[in-house]
Amino acid sequence: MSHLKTENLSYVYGEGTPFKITALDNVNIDLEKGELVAIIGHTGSGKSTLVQHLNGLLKPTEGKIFLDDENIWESKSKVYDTRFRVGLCFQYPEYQLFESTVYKDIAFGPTNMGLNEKEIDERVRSAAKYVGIPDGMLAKSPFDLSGGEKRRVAIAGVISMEPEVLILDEPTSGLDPRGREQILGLIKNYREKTGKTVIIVSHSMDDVARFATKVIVMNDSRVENSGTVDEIFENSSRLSEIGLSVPQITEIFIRLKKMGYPVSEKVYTVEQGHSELMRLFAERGIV
Amino acid sequence: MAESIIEFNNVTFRYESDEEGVTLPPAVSDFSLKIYEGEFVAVLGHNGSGKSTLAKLANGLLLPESGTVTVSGMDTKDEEKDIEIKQTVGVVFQNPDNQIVATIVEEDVAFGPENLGIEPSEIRRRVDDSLKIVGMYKYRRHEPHKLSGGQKQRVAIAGIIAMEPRCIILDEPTAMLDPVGRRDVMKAIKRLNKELNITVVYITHYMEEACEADRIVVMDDARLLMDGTPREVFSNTEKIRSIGLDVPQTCSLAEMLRKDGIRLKNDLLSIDELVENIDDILKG
Repeated sequence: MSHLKTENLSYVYGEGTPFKITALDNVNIDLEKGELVAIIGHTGSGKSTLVQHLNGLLKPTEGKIFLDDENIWESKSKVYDTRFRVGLCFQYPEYQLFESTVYKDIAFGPTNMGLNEKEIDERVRSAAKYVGIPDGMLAKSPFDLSGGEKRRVAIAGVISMEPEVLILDEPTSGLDPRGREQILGLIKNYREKTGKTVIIVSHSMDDVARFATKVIVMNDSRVENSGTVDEIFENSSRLSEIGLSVPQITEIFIRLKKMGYPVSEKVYTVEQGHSELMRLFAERGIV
Repeated sequence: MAESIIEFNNVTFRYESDEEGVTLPPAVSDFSLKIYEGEFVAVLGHNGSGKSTLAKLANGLLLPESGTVTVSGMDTKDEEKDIEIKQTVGVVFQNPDNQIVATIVEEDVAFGPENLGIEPSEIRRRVDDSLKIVGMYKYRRHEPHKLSGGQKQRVAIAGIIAMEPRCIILDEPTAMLDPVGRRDVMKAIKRLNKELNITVVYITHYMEEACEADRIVVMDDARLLMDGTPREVFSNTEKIRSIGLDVPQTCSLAEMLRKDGIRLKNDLLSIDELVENIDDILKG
């Protein structure tokens, strides 16, 4: 069943001025509940503009957005409602922390939802726990935390609204490998535990290949392609034409296959690569 | 041996806390390092390990609490040498949007040399040459805000090159870019290192990018942890992982295969090397 859908969605920045730019051109996507969707595409391809439409932050120039088959722009109250049901965490969200304590920052969303104090408290504590922020840190100023911690606080601020769809725009950019693993782990965990839909915008093909159940490829304001990881990474030459790539590990197997070895090209993690090669070595009597 | 261009001698630096009476731990602690003319050095380390502080200390944007930083023999604390130091060492930061000042690409690149009081014909030459080396010459009359992230970052790099520094420090210049933008920026940086012999200090979280350098310096908790060629550094998988970093996928895969008794060479780094070595083994 369709959960979140766009229909002929177009968006133009600066309409009626000489600086007019079409950021989205007739975009149609259809997402089901519980999917972990990755949106990939070169910088400026329209990814961020697209996700800002999904929670009603931007109003389409043309076309419609449906949440559970209801047009989100049908009425003022509906679009207001959508902003809580679809939670959006921007790029570099740590720059958007503004409260005097971590607690207040995470409580901002639930407070605006009009929840009572007890409910807010429960939401804040469970969201903080979820992202691995210990209770002792809640009274601290967000500005005293490390970059990775700040990012997790910002994500907790969105999770605390318990949105039906969680959207994260480039959640791992600028983080070191350990920070990246932590964030990806918690996103994956959130989806598995709650069954909610998660959308991530990403430039990291390694991450996308490992986690996504569905991939949407944007190119020059349009949807170029969408499908499973296997379907998308199959065409590596087209991906590099439009500014993207396949993971380094996948590249190794594409090369081996070209050399005539009977290996699968659908290898996205080092572990998969290891077992695929060991199988080949065993067949050839090398081990 | 080439002359050193930047020297850190027992440098300690700490940021001031907003709260009174609170002393923060040092961001860089008793740090010593020599960077030689013409080198391409990558700097790795987890978030908060002191990498960016190092970049700012290297051209006098920050001054050490103790120890000295010298650029071509000039102490960064010497106010009279401040301009000369900043002309010698240029810095490119993470976000290209914060570094572009003009509305036309070539004007943006000309901004630095104009401020140095260089004569117009020489500025023209420098702007053209800089844009050519980063592969952005054909965009010279474009508006920077309409370029992609990778293109903007290359314009920012051209703006630094036009001041003809002998050393350029790049602080995660590709963190916000897509894969092709990343590759193009890396290509431009390698060209200016190899063709113009500009010393490059490259701070990154991408292990694959660090492999392109001549030398890798690894920071951990404000200190220097490792210093060696990419092959040396990435062959020490355990040490790298213990500080929250990772090795390139090729190195991880090779390591796992070696543990299972596959006789791969010890210091494989690139995809080409690994594929070739696997091919050799399969052919017997």
